[in-house]
Amino acid sequence: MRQESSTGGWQRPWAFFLVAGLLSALLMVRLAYLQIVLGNELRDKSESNRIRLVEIAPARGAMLDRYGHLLVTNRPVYTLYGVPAEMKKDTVAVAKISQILGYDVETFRRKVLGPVRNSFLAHRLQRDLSFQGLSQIEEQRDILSGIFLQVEAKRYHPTEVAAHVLGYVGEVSQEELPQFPGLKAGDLVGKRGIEKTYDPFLRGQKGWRLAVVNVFGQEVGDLEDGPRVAPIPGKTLHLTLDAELQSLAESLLVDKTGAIVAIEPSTGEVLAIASSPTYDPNVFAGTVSSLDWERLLSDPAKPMLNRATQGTYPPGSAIKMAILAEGLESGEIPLSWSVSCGGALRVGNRSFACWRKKGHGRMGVLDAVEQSCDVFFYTLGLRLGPDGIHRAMMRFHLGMKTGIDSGSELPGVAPSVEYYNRRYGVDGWTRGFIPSISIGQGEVLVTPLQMCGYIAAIADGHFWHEPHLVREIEDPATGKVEVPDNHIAEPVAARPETMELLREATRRVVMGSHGTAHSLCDPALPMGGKTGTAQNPHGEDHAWFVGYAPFENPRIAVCVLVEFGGHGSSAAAPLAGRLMRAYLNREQPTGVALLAAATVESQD
Amino acid sequence: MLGNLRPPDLLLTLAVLALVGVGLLAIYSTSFSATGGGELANFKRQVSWAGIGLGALLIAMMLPTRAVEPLAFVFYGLSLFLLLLVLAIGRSEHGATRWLVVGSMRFQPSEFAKAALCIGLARFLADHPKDLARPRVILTALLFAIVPMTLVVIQPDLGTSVIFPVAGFCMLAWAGVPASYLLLIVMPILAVVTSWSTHLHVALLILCVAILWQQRLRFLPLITGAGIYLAAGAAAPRIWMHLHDYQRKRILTFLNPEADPLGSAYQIIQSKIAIGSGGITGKGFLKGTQTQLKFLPEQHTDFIFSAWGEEFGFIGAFLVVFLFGVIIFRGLQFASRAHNPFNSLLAAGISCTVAFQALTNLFVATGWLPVTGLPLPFISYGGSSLFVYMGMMGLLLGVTMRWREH
Repeated sequence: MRQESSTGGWQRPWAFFLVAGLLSALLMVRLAYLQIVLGNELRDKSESNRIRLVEIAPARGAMLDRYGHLLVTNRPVYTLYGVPAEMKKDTVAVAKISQILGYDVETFRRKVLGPVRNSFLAHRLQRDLSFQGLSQIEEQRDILSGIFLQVEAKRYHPTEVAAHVLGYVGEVSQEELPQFPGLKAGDLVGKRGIEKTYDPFLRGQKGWRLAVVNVFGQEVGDLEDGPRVAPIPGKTLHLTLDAELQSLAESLLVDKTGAIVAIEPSTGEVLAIASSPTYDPNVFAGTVSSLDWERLLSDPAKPMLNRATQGTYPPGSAIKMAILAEGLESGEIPLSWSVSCGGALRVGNRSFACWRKKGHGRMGVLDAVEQSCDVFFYTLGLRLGPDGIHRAMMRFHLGMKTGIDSGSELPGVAPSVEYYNRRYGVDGWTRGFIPSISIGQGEVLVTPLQMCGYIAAIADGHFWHEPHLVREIEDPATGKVEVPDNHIAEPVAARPETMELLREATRRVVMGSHGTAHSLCDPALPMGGKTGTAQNPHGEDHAWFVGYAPFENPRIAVCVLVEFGGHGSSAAAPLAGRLMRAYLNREQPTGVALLAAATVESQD
Repeated sequence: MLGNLRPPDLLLTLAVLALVGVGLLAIYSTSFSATGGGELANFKRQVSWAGIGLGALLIAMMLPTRAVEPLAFVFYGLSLFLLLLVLAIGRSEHGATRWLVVGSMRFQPSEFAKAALCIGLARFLADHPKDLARPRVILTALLFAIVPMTLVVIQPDLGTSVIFPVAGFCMLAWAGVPASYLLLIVMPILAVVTSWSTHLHVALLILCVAILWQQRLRFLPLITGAGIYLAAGAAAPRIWMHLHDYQRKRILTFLNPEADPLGSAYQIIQSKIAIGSGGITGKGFLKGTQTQLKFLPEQHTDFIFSAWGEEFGFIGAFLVVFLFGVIIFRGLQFASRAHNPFNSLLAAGISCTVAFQALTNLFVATGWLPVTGLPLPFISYGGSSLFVYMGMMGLLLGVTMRWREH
């Protein structure tokens, strides 16, 4: 078939066949050398001498209180890893391990080894192994194949306070992964509270090193002279919290259900924020065992709920300064306005009672707040209408999220005409709804944090500050400090005279002879405040107190809520009094020395 | 004409289909480990590309010579336009601009340019059967290869760019350009390679000049050749300074693999371990620890042969080399049989392109060449490459059907 042709030079294909043939032969020699001659040697290499990039987890940033006390840090724990492909070969070992971890063999096979995607890779079997489990595994190391231990960091709360706002960390799930570039499933990230909001600062950056690992991904050792990139530790958060005050607030709420919030009025810095019942934050420090998790979630007392930011309650009479401010600011009433209280007010065919059945007599604006006269506020509320009450609440950020940087907030409700129309239909409600909301009952719902921000704004007299928990973010390596942009100050939309009047009214609540919180009166420490007793269809009234001290240049504003506590004056005000006195009478810790000590401790 | 039409060569057809099958198996294996067993996204994409490629193969096979030949320069020009378009509006990745994106599709015009060069240069050389010793014709033919090479170098994609001059050179040799001119063409390359040693450099120059003198080359081209040789030798160190860091690193790593355990040498070491640890029979499909544990880098692209070699051993590796051998030898056989110069040159060009790229990739995978970034034809993951190579196989099969045509 060979064709002789004279039209081109392709009569010399032999050179091409020769070159291609030689190169192919050379390749086959090379392959034979690698696969047959070196086959066993290279197979050994593939089995045992693998170089792998191993991540080094950075130390998650610590959290310190305003004086440098350590609130959150890390401590080392042992984590058990297993290589399913290797483990499955040895039924005795599998039985042993499942027993140590507290599973029966079948559950262990199905739940732990079953869903694994790549059985050649090491998978985490249990984080934070108990001491007992650890010693059992160490004892029988030789007969347990396919498992190994690794030291990992776990979150640790030495003081166990402020569990709700500090929050917790948890493993990134497969679904969340796209939000966290550079992380892999199972890495820890902040899931709630400050841990979540400031996660990008706290997390730090992974480092890596070259390790020699065997065929199953188990580390044999570091690669000699291998390159290594150190992890960058997470930043240290300096919080506004006062650990001692926080601890006191929590102890005041022991055996009660409720919340306490304390804020520095001039800055909006949260000094303490407690919710009761609470939980041990160390339970959450790595991953929660499903048993603990179930227990916390199914507890009828709802310990996971942060009542300070997620509990919404009617504020009762504690709202009255806001309503009065709206009356004066809208021009609806003059300063000289007064109402005669006969113990009740008739609206349509319904009668609305004042808390004082025999009536207060004639009440001016200051008297009405001091003695918490309901008839005065029924009358004022009817003049303002739902929209007026809505504006009254908005002025002090009531019934809306405050924007606190620990997240997990509910807005509550600030009713308005639009709200009623939406909820009941345009013809579904009457003026008879208004008296209740004028005294903070009915549809009005607020959180203790909102109420604290409100009383802090009155105390300050000029600004409403967004409550915040983080003061400074410090790089532990360089000592460089940055201030987060969470400090927002907003002038209260009211004339200075009105704000001064509100301050005076709250002063009289405590210091005046008829004041509802007169029990707190101490001429040596003038303060302002307001009680609230919110009717509760489920039982005993909720008790409120909002207050601040000292009256001139206030340094602390407090809100106390006790669920089912009864009267604000008796159940809430004393707690607030103790808290404020403790804060003001205490010698301030010398911050600098403590800070240095805590920083050193948090770095290891 | 119709009487000259033969059925497509069976051996060649089987070899092509077998290689595509090998590729899909290998990509299934690497895709399996890359996604942890779930998605197999790469595999599914490659299967659809194989389907499209099969269509391209059938269409290219059915095209009559008198349809391909007149359009050769149009096709060649179009590929240059696409290469320019890449530089203008292409997508960049890892510091190189190689992709054109149309909607959700993306392709590499440099792949198309390989086929375009074979077709365009085959036409040009077939048009000048009597002038193959004239410098002007030879230089024009060289330009056919140098233009796409330059455009690809700019991207930059050094590995792919080398294919163009090699394919061009092979086609010149196939067309019958005298040996003295072929030597003149490779002299600058020899100059660069020997530039590190003055003695070798000069000795080789003397040897080349002696051969050319003996071949009775005229004085002017001889002097020009020697001049270019010296200029290239002098320029080489300067070009070295202008290479990208990663390119220099690749060459240095090749010369001294222990210097860079994390970069290219890591790839070569892991690749050799993967292939060698496969032994004679391999570790079994989906059971290669190097592949499944991801010790093997670039396992679905440049180092796919290592994944294959690990799982199917020497027997599997031999099969792949054998199948490439069938394509190359059968292709060259029909190239030498073909009566029509265009068909002959087209078949030779395609065979040489496949041979060069496959051998280069395989020598890289086995550690005998620096990492070039060239995928293995038919087997490596990548739609453009598979599509174009299957199209080229269609043209080659077309030649096996029409070799009797004049």
